[in-house]
Amino acid sequence: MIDQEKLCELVCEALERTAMVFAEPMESDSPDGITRVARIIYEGEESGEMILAASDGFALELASSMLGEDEDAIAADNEGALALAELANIVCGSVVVAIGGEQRAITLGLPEIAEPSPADGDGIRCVVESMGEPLVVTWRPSRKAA
Amino acid sequence: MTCNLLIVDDSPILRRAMAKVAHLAGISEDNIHMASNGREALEVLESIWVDLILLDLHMPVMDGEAFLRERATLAHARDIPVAIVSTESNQDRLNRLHELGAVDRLAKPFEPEDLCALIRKRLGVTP
Repeated sequence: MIDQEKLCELVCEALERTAMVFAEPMESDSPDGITRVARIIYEGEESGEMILAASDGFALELASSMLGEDEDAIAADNEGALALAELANIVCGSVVVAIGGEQRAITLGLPEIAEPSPADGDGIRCVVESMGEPLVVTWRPSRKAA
Repeated sequence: MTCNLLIVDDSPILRRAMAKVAHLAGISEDNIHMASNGREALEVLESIWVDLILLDLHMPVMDGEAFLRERATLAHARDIPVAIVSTESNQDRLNRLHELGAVDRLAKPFEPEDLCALIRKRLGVTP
């Protein structure tokens, strides 16, 4: 099973490998300034949902690093949101591997850009920051298929 | 040597990022083509010869596996090398994709250097 520490490890590895963003655990469990949300589901022998919520600053840094372009040339509501959606896909893929996805039939959905919601906090959470900008990752495993 | 590369991924930002890496790997920007799903990729293949396809799996309209099945029926496309670039980890599915003609796999998350190395290896491009 994946606990908060393992989830943080998977998130930080995805950030480093995909975008050379070096994130650290954040002291605050409910950071302010969350404006961008992406979510993705997985289904099959295991099912659940992954929600990534970030500030504009984090989304901009992520997109800027992925593209190798200055943040001035990037829009938080365009490239920033798309980068967060792709990160949701990658983190969810890593979680699926960690719960046995190599041997079990589990299919990822398509990542979606969503609106922030208070209910997004339910589940196993990890909060990290980069350059003081927060990223909150929530994993909600929902059921094992019969 | 001129090589054409086709990047098939539904994420616009990842297509852009991969195109930048491909350019750094030695592919001219004019020779980097993009499609957001398998259907668009088939349309690209009708108009140009491609030397390597980087293929995501989880895409709307036509996913990567459906694209590989369709490609296998097309004389002008069936011999083009395909490298899977995806979060997919299920071994049975990866074996099926290999049987459908996928010759390589790069798991997400990957580092740009990994993609650069894959492109250079498959296309014989030197820095």
